[in-house]
Amino acid sequence: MIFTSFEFLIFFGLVWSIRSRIRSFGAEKWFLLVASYAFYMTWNAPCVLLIIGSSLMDYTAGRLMGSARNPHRRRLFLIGSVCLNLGMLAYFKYRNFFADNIWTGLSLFGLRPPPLHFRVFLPVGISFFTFQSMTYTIDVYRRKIEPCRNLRDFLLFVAFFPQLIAGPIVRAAEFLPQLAARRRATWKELEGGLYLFLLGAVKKMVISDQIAPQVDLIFADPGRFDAFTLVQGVLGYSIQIYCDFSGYSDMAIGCARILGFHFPENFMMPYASRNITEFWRRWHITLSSWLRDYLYIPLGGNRKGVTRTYVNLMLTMLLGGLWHGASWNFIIWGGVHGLGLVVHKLWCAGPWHGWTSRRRSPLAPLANLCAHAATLTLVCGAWIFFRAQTFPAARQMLMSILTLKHSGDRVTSPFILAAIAGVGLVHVFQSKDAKLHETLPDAGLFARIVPYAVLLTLLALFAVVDGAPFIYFQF
Amino acid sequence: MRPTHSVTSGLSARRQFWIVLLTTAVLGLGASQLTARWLGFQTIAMTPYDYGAGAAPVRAFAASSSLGYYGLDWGAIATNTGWSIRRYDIPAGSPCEMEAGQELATNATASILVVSAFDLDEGFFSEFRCALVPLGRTFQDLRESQASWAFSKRALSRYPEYWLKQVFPTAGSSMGVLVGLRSKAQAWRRSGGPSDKAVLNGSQAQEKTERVCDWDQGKLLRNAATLNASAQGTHFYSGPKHQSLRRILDRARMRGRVVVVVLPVSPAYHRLVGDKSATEFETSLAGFERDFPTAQFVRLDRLKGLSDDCNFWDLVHLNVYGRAIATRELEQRLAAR
Repeated sequence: MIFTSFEFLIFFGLVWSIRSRIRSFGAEKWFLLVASYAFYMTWNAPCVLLIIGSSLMDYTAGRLMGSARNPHRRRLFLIGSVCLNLGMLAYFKYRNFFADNIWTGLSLFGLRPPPLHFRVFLPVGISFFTFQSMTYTIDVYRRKIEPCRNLRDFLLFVAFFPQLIAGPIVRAAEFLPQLAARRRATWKELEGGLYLFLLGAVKKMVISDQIAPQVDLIFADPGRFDAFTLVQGVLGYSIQIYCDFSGYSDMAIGCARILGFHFPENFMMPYASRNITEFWRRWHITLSSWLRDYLYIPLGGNRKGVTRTYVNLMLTMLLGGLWHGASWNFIIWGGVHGLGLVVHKLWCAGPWHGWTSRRRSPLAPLANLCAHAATLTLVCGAWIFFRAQTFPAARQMLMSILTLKHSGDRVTSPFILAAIAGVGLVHVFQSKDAKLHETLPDAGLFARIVPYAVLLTLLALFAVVDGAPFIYFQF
Repeated sequence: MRPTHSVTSGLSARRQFWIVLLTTAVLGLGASQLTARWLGFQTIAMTPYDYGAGAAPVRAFAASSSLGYYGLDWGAIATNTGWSIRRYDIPAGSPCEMEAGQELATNATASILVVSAFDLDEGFFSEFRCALVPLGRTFQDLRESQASWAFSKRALSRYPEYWLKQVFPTAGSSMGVLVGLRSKAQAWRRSGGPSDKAVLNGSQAQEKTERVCDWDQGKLLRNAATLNASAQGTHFYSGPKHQSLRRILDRARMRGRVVVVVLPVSPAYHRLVGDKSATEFETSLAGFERDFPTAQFVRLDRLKGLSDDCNFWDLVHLNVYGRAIATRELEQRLAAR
């Protein structure tokens, strides 16, 4: 059941109205839990046992850590929880990838064992709920939060349907306290939630789904197109994945808000970033902060010297790429971003950084423009590896663009060009730190009605109803 | 809900919320309605067209999608055959929708059903299906054809979309809106100003002189990608349309002569859907030919003279050149039997 379907609207309407009528707070939470499991079961019924099992495991680990005095025992429980979570992820998501690479490695040494290939079944959302669940056990271990004493609340934290399938990755420290007392959305929160849901629907159904066929066409056979077409494809995909994923996040955050819960922001106009470090503070914020707090910092962060900092950055981004999918293309994508982060750190450490970063510097406007352009080039170029079906296809595409290939078919997609123009205009005129879902409900009536009506009109006129599933569902 | 009082407007937050919500809905609704009217969106699911003299010896019921509207000169067919034809035109129609027309044509003594590989492809849905096909019948057809869960969801979700269209007529018709806006822009450029009705109505069948063979590769690929996306990449011939065609042929043969005209689609379209789909289409048709031996199957899609992108103004519709060839051939075949 995807957010842009009629059945979800009916489901959500039922959940909201039934929940409003439940008197007991405990019963309300049970209802939300059952509704969340029912939501997940529409994807694959048996896999709900996986979520329940994973949740029970981490709940138990948290309780055991809470009662254990011996720090070694606490660490053991943490290691057990992390290993089980990552083991589950490795089994379902990466076993064929590992098997294929081990086979390739053995082949290099002249060994030819029979190729192992498992019939893989990837439970929807596994990358998200395992990471989310790990935030609990790790934060309990670090004594940032107390172990949850209520199994129902913990189960609901992991399975809460707005964020279950594709995030945002909500931390236990952010969500569990919200279950302590009964919540109802205020009228302004309700309005903000509806605005977010509408905005997300426009991003997904009007922008992303309209350009998807053209992007798919170009990436399906990049060798047949000229450089101009390939650049359109890359820019189109950059827009598509942004609108698809941020649209999903908006709808998820909006649903939660309507139900009275607050989720963290997941996107803050990342394509307005002036450098790659800023980009990762604005793109998939919950994942990047997860990687920072639970991988980069435990590896040592920037506290172990310059070289080690760069190594930690690269490692974090390589694993971040691997998280997205079991393919070398994703690892390379992560590596490109890691390299960009390292280069940015080097740049910031250099003397030239001061000449251009000072506001009164005459070079500042030009430097800003160049910085934006360089960041966008790196990010969009990296998307080639993220989207291409194979590494050779990605390499071919990149080389064709870099060598300005003239031969081949030329496709000019008005959809892609319009999407670039539209998203570009929004990035130019809207503040990149604006949180309109919080500020708009406080504005005057006219100032609210106009943007809402524009969004609804765009949806009514240009939405694609039979669109593709959300891209991040495959992760 | 905890009401709070607004400081700025004096209206409570609750009242503001409802004012904003309702005003937004009304504005969105108004924009959709006005756009649909301005672009001339078809709101009638099935339009009857009469050709020939009313008192002709043969009173034929004919049904087709826009492929039949553009692909055959019905006036000429009626004149040259001496038949009286009432044709029901259904945008993107298929046998599922044609059944509604057949139910109305109770005094027909002959039936002409115009189909094609595009019309019978289960991956494409007419936006008027829900207006003409009861939900129960769709359920039954999906069950009997053992349709997949994904396809069934797609087919059934058309109904709430249709109900939404009653207030937002442009909902789910983004391609129609975009094509309409482009036509308006082209007509404006041609006429040099607004409200030139003769120019704005330039999508009459006799005006379609564009040829797919004149398209550049980019335009061809773009259109192919858009068409394929509207079917979500699935092309098969064993679903509700197949069930409906069987029922239509069953009823038609009890009334009298049955003619099934199979119109061609462009070679570019065939390349898009692939050989597997073409084979499945042929298998499906062969089954009907075998089960309904008294029906006359006029395979215009096998006519060599039509198998050329130059006879089509888009991937599936015949242009004026193709229509002339198809009409002549159909007249000969009708006269021969």
